[in-house]
Amino acid sequence: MNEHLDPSAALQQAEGVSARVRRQARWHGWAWLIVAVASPFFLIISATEALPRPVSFWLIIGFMLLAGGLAIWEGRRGVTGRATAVIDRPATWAYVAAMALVAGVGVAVDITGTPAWFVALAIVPAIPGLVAAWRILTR
Amino acid sequence: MMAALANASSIDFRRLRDLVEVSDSLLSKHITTLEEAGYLSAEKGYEGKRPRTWLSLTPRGREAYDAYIDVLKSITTGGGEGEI
Repeated sequence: MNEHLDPSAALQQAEGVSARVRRQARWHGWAWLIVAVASPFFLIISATEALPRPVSFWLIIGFMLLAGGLAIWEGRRGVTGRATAVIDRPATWAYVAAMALVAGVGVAVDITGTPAWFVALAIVPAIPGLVAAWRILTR
Repeated sequence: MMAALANASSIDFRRLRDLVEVSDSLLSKHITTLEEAGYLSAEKGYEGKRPRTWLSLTPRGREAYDAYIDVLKSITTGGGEGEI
């Protein structure tokens, strides 16, 4: 930090720091986008019989590691954006509720052959993630 | 420091130190000054066993920063010169 700055240098320095912080805060939006895009695939793959069981199993483990890793990595970054502070909690709850709903339907209803309605339903958990990503990335 | 905090909801002490490129002691000194002025709030906690301090601007701090930036903009667009 410089002790003496002329106004234009001070403004330039402030804008530089602002841009760096906004760029770091936006990473949370990318994390949401990855989770939003990956979730329907995870749900459909875990329901379908098309893939051999070990492959489905490792894909599910991979998804869980991806989601967990992103959450830990995000927590350690040390910058919480203004949009993130507003949208993160409701988006997380909506995402968890939607995932639980789809998983519950998958268990309670016969989805042999992965019907089209289940594929449509599997897209629902992506919505909160996409909304959160859009809000954070466009700020 | 104010510029960094104005663009975030909160920033971890270490991350802020890296962003503004100052020493721990200088950052602590500035935090104390800004806290006393009512511009900044510090929240201490733990992540596992690791202590962490989250810093954020208060509404008053945000207002003061916005006013400061407005003054800088009016000086630079008006062609004024001077030391800050």
